[in-house]
Amino acid sequence: MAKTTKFILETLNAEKERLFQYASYRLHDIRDVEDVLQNIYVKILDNPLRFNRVDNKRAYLYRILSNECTDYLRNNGKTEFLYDQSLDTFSLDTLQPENFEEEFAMINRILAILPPEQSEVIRLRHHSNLSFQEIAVVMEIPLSTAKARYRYGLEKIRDGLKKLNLL
Amino acid sequence: MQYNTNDNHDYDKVASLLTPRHPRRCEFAFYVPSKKRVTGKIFAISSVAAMIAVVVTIAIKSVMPVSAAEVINSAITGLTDAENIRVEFEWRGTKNNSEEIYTPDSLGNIVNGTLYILRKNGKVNTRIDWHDVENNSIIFNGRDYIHLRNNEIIDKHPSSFGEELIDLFSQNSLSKNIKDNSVFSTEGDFIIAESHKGDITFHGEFRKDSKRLTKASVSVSLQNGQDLKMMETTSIATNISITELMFIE
Repeated sequence: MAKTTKFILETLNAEKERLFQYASYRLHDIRDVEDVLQNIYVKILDNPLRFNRVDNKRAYLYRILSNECTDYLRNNGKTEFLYDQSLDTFSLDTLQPENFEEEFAMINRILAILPPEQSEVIRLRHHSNLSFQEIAVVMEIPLSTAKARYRYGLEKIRDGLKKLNLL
Repeated sequence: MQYNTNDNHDYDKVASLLTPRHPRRCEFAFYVPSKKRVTGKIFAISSVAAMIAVVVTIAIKSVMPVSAAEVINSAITGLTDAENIRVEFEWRGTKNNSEEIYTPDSLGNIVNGTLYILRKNGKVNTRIDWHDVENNSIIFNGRDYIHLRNNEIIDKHPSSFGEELIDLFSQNSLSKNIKDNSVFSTEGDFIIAESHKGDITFHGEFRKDSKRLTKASVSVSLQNGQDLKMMETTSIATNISITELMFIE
């Protein structure tokens, strides 16, 4: 069992930076981020045989991370930015964040105008540096769908910013 | 994807906005859960009930004043003999896939819960309702473990946990260390009993006139010297109206 624990830890550590960035831009609070990451580790440790049986362990990690973030926000009474919130109050200053806090707020307000399935593709692409092929595996969708969601998401953001002469 | 040059430029700009330029530095390290995070046999399944049981049974023997012994022993007997018990409590923990749903965790958030115990026909039934968004509940009815979420069964499997709980209420089962390390004091109408096990402190308050346990809590000493409350009861009641229906699916 020690060998399995070591393997699980190695797998997680290989992805740690990307998992951390994804969780940071979803949850914001560093303690929440660390809680969620540790929760994933503990969950996998609780059932190592199940983890061993998974074909694509990397995709599995991002899938459970995404679910864990959603659950964490819901169970702790925190909300992500509301979908359909417009960009009307954006200004040029908003688009030039100077630190993590401002950048977190900007990115999440932008993504809030998209349906969750589009914003998720964008998060996995830009915060976890996954390829479209990898994103397709994580989200269990065809490659063409992953690319299409990404494109439609960028288009909607582009249109929204253009309307405000911010692009 | 086919874009024209202007589109390309716009998409690049948007992509640039979405790409972090001020990412946080990752200093996090995964760690294997250890005793410092308040785990161990005492926090096994139905750990809330177990924890309360430990608090009420710390107050026995040797250096206690006679009046304190009488108060505390009566309280223990009252709880041990009670057909039913309801405890409202606050709990610091992290949600996971353990049987109790929320595992004690010094880095966790506070969640409220209600513990029900019903002893009937030689059986001990235990139920914990977590007051969380999903309305998670866990039941041990002497035959099965059942996890409910919004009153729907999420998990059910055989489990015989129940008698161990009553053993915990019995004075004889408590470890000698806890018994011998208890400190007693009197504050007005209350007897206070406190016991330490490593960096964990159990605290119980017993009312002299009614000879009842009125409050139980568990704290853990952190590395920075602060004490962090892990569990605290907000009410303890016996002879309440609960039925066996609460302990079946």
